[in-house]
Amino acid sequence: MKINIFIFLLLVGTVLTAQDKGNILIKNGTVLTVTKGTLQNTDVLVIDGKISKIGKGLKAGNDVKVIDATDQFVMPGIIDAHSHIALDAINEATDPSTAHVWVGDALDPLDVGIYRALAGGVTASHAMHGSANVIGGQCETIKHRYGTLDPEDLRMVGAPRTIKFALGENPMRVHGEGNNIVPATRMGVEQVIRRSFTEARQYIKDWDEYNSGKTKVPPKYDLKTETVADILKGDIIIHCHSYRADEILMLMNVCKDFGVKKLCFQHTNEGFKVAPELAAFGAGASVFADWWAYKFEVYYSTAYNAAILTKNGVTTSINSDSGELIRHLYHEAAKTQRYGGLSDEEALSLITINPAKQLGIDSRVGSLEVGKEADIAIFSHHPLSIYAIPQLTIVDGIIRFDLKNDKKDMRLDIDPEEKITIFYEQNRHHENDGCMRDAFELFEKK
Amino acid sequence: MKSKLTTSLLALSILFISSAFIQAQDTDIVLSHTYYINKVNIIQKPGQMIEMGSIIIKNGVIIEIGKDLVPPPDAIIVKADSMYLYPGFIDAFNTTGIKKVEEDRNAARQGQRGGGGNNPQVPNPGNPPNNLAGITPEKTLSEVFDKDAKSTKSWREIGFTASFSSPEGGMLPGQAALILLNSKDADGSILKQNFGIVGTFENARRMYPATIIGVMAKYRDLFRQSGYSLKHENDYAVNPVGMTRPSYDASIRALYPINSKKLPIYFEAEKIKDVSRALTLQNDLGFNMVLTNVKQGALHADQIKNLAIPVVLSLDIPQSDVKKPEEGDKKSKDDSDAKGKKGEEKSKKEEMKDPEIEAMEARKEESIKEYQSQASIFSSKGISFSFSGKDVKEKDVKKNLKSMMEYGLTEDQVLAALTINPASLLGVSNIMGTLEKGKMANFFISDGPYFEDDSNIKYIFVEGNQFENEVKAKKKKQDGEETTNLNLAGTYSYTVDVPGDERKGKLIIKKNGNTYTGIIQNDGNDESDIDNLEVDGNKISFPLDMNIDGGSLKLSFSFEIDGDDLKGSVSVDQYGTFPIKGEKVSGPNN
Repeated sequence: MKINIFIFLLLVGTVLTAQDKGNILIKNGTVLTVTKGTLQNTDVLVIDGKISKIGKGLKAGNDVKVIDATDQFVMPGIIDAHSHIALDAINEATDPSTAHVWVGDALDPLDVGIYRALAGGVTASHAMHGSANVIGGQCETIKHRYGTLDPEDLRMVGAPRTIKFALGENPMRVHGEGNNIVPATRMGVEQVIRRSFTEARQYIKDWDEYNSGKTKVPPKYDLKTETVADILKGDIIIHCHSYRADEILMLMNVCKDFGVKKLCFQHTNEGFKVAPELAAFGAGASVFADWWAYKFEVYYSTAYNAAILTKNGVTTSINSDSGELIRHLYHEAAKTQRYGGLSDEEALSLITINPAKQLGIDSRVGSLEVGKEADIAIFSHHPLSIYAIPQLTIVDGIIRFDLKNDKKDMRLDIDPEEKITIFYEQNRHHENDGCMRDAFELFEKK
Repeated sequence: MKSKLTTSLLALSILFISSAFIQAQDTDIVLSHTYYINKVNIIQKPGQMIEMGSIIIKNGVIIEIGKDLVPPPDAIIVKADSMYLYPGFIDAFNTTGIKKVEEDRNAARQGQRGGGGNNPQVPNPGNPPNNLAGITPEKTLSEVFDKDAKSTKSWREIGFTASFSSPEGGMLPGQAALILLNSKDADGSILKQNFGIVGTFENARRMYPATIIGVMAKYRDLFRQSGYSLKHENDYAVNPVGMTRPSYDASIRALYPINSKKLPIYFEAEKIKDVSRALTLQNDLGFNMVLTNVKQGALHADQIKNLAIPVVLSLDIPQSDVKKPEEGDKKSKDDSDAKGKKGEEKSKKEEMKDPEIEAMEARKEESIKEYQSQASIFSSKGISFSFSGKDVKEKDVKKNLKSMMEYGLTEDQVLAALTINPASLLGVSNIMGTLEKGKMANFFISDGPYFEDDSNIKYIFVEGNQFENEVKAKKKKQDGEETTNLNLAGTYSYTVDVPGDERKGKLIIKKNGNTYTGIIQNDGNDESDIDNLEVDGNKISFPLDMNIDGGSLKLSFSFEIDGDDLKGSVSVDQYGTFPIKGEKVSGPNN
C-alpha cells in the first residue's frame, strides 16, 4: 500500500507557523483597553496581526474573519512575568553563577502547557531560568504561538534581554548545603553578585584595551563574564527571585553601587515592607496574589502585597510561576479587589500592561491600542468576575485558543513509542515545571 | 578447444579449493587474492544492472566487470549463480567498530534520571575538566577502535562494507573516521580520517554542562574562544616579541579547522528541536555543518535545502504495533465452537475500549507515519541524503527501509542513500559507492533481490576479503508443524514495567516433544502453571489469572524470544498494556 507523499506534505503544511499574522474583526464587545478606559459595544479591527482600528460600526473586507463578541468582554492578552512553561531545561544548577546559559536555547514549542496558558487568556510569558543559582541564566520572552513546531517561532523577537537572579534559601541550599561552596549564607549571596560585577568591570576594561589596540593579546573570551558585563552596560533587565525585605534592599544597594538601573523583583513577598524604597529605585515587583508559607523565608506575607505596592507607585504584576496558576491569572488579579480594593483598571493592569513594562514590551503589547500587536483575550463575563470563562485567545491576530471549536486532543508532538494507558502517572505530560526543576536531583545527597 | 577444457578443469579444481578456503577462513590462510564471480545479476549502481554478468577482483580492487568474462587462472571462483550482487552499503553515521564501555552507558542513563551513577566527583562542578564534561573534540576514532567489535561483524552481515564511525559520549565526543568493516586492526580498517568533529546535544552528569542550556552555552563559549585563540596563535607566529605565549588547549585547537570552515561539524540532531538548535548554532557561530542521525527533520527540509546542508537520515524509525487483521484467522484448526467464543470475546473487548484511549492510539499511528515518511519528504523536495544506522537494530534495517518506501521512496533512491550518496558525502566516490572497474571491491551477494522479504545475504566482500554468512535455517510455518530447530525451553527472568512499580518474576518453559508447558512465578508469590501456552515460531503467548489483594486480574502475556532475550507486552484487563522484558537465566536442562 503506497501512501501519496503529497497528501503527507499537505498534512505537514497545515501546521500554523509564526510568520502567520491574521486579520480579524471583533464586533460589538465590551472592550477593556486597560490604558484608555472601557468601551461599550465596540469593534476591534485587526489587520496583519496589529490592531488597526477601535471604534463602532467598523467594516472590513471579505478576507477578514469576523467574530461576534456581543455580551462578551475583550481584553488585552494576559502577560505572565514569571513562568517556566515551554522549556526543556530550567536550571543549570552547576555553579552559583551561570549568566552564560540562556533558556532561549531550550524553548519547547511542543509543550501543551502553552495551550493551557492560552486557555486562560495568556498570550505572552516570561520563560525564566530557575532559582538554583545566585546569577541564573538569561530568560526569554515568548509569545504563545501554539501550533508552531519550531522553537524559533515562539520568540518575541525584539523583546529586551532579561536575566534571572536569585536570593535567599534556594541558592544557599543548592550550593552552600549541597556543594559546600559559597554561598552558604545571605552574606555569601551578596558576595557572589559583587564579585561577578567586579570581574565584569575588569573584563570590559580588558576588552576595551584590546579593541583599541593598547594590548596585543586578546583577553580570554568568557560568555559568563561577557553577559554580566552586558548587565552593567544596561542591556539586560535583572529579574530577581526574592522574598525578604532585607535582601531586596541589599540588591538595590549593590545595583546602585554598580550603576545598574534595570531591576525587577520576583515573588517579593515582603515587598510591602519596602514599597517606598522600591518605588524610589524604580524597581518593579512581580508577586503572587496569595501564595506563601511554603518555606521558612516565605512566612511573613500578605494578600494585600500587590495593592500596597501599587498604591506606593511600584510597577507591580501578578505572576504564576506555575503551569496551573497560569490558567487563571484573571482570578489572581481579582483577589486584589477583595484584598486592597484596587479598581478594575488597576487590577487588570497587574496582568497586562504592568508585566509588559517589567519586560520592556509595553510599547507593543499589554493594552488594546491602535498600532499595538493584536494579542487579545475574549471572555464570557468580565475577566475579574468569578464567572468569567475565556472563549477565544488571539496572538498576532491568529486564533490560538477557541473554547468551542478546538479539537479535544491539542497535543502537537506525539511520541511514536508512547505507552497509552489510563494511569495518570505514566503519562509524561504533567512534569514539574517549577523554579527548582533540574536542580535538586543534581545536588541533593542521597 | 583444449584451452577451454583446461580452464574448466582449473575452474573445477578452484571451486574445490574455494570451499576449502571458506572453511579455513578462521585461520587466515588465504590462497589467492583474486576472485571470479559469474552468472550473477550485478547492480552496478542504482538503476543499472548487468544481468547474468561477471566480475573479477584482485587485491581488493575490481579489475573487470561485464559479461562472460574469463576467470584468471589464479582466481577463486565464488558460486553465486543467478544471485544478486550489490555495491557494499555505506553507513553514513554510526559507532560501529568502537569499544563499548557498558558501565559508562549505565551510569549515563542513571545520571540522566538523577539517580547518581558512578560519576567522578569534581571539585568545581561549574568548571570541570573538559574530558569529564564530554568535551573531547581532539579524540580520534583510532583511540577507541576495537577490531573485534561485535558491531563490525553484525553490520557487515547485513551488507554494510564501510561505516563513518564516531567515538561516543558527551557533547563533543571526537572525530569520526571512515572504516572498512573487515575486522582488521586500526591500520587495516581505517580508510580515511580528518573529516571534522562530531557534535551532539548530550549533557554531562552532575557537572557543567548538565542541561541543554549549558550545552548550548558551552558551544558558544568554545567556538568563540577558539576563534580568538587561533588569531592569537597567528599573531604570535608573525611576531612573538612582547606577546604572551598562546596557551595550549587540545580541545580548543581541535576546533580551529571547524572555525575556519575548512572542515564541518557533524551535528547529531534527531528531533525537531535538535535540528532547530543546530541551525541556531550554525547561524550564531558560522561553521559548516552536516546534520546527522536525523529522525524528525521534515519540518526544516526547506531550510536545510536552502542552506545546502548535507543531511544523514536515521534508519531508526518507529513501527506500528497495531496487529494486522489477518493474524486472527491463523488458527484454522480451532473448531467452530471455540472460534465463535473467541469472536464474541473479541467484540466485547472492542466495545469496552475507552474512546479517549482509542483516539490517542490513532494519533500515535499518525505520528509513526510521520517518522516513516521523512525520507520521502526529503526526496520529494529534491534533497539527497544518506542513512545513519546509529540507534537501529541490524535486523530492523530492511524492514524500516521498506516502510519508508511505502511513502513513495523508490528502490533506487534507497540504494543511492546507502551507496553513492554517502560515498559522495565522504569524498570517496572515486573508490566506493558503485561497482566499476578500478573501484574497491566492496559488495555483497544476496540469493534474491535485496528488497524481497525472504532474500538472504550469502557473501560479503570488503576490500576483496570474502566473508560468508552462516546459513540460517528457514522457518517453514505450516499448520500443526512446529519449528524443529528452535527450542525456547529454559528458565527466564522477567520484569514487567508497571507505572511506579516493577514486577519481577521467573518463567520456566519446558518442551516435551512438540508441545510446550510453563510455570510462572511472580515476585514472592507461589508458582502457578500456565494452562494455555501458545507457541508460534519464537512467539509465546498465554493468559493468566492472577490473585492480587483478594481480587482477580486477567493478564495476557505476549512476547518474542530472540536468542536469550525476551521482549513483549502484558495486558491487564482494562488497565492497559505494559512492556515485559527478560532474559534466559539457564538452559532447558536446569
